[in-house]
Amino acid sequence: MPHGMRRLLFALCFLAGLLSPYVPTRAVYLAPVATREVQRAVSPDKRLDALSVTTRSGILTLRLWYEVYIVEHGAPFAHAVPVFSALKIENADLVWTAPRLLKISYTRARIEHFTNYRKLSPRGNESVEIRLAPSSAAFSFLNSSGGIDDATEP
Amino acid sequence: MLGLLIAAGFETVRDSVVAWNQREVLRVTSPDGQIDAVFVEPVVHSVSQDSALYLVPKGEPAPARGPQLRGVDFKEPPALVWKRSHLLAINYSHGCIINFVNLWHSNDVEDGRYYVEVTLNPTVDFPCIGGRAPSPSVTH
Repeated sequence: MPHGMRRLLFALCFLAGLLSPYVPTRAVYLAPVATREVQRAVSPDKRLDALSVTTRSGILTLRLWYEVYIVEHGAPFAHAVPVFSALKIENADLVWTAPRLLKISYTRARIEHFTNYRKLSPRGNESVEIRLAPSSAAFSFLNSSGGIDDATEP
Repeated sequence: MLGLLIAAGFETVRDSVVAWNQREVLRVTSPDGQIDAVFVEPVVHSVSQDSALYLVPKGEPAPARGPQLRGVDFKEPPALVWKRSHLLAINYSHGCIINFVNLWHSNDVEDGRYYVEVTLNPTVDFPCIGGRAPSPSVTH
């Protein structure tokens, strides 16, 4: 084998080894997805939209993600970062209770990501606060005995 | 193979730095005595400013990854209240939450069939932006 080819092969194997731990976690983004905007709630001062989106994705097992984004009024969510991501959500709703306070209500959810604030511009001082509002003060995902029904095993 | 070793080494170093830089400030055991809720704060704030909440089998130290909650600007540790076994409430008046996950289970407890649900109970409307605005921002 030519010396140059051996070096190229070594470099490719090195790169493959370096990336191998991360490929399985990123592969989900290569799977086909179907996205649908569910709700768009305009803030009281009409400057912002909170919008919820469902995304169906997965290679072997299909999962239905529910995500919430905060964007400028009328803007698409395409490049925004979600403030809330959940699976198995039921009866979700978005309500602005003040110009800078968004409540995410639901009866049931398995929350995979939530942040309680979002800065409105990289260098600005204005932010939005986000609050979870489950319908029950007790369990919102587990059953009353603290377990998971077989049909909803995560 | 060499790349895989370097990546594994990087993750190990990262975990070691996180573990070294966190100090346990609060530990509350579940009513059935199986699980501890552990709140940690950073030792050196210039390395990381993140506080975190972990759930661990009783008596175990806080790990370096997989917190239920990661946040900043907690003026005091939140109150960790076990409403009953399997249900933990986090009551807090100040704090910006960077990431929160509401379900926990571990293969080390009842072969992974023991679950804990975590709920957030802010005691004010604006526990984060009531103070100064933190760094992450909306991207368009």
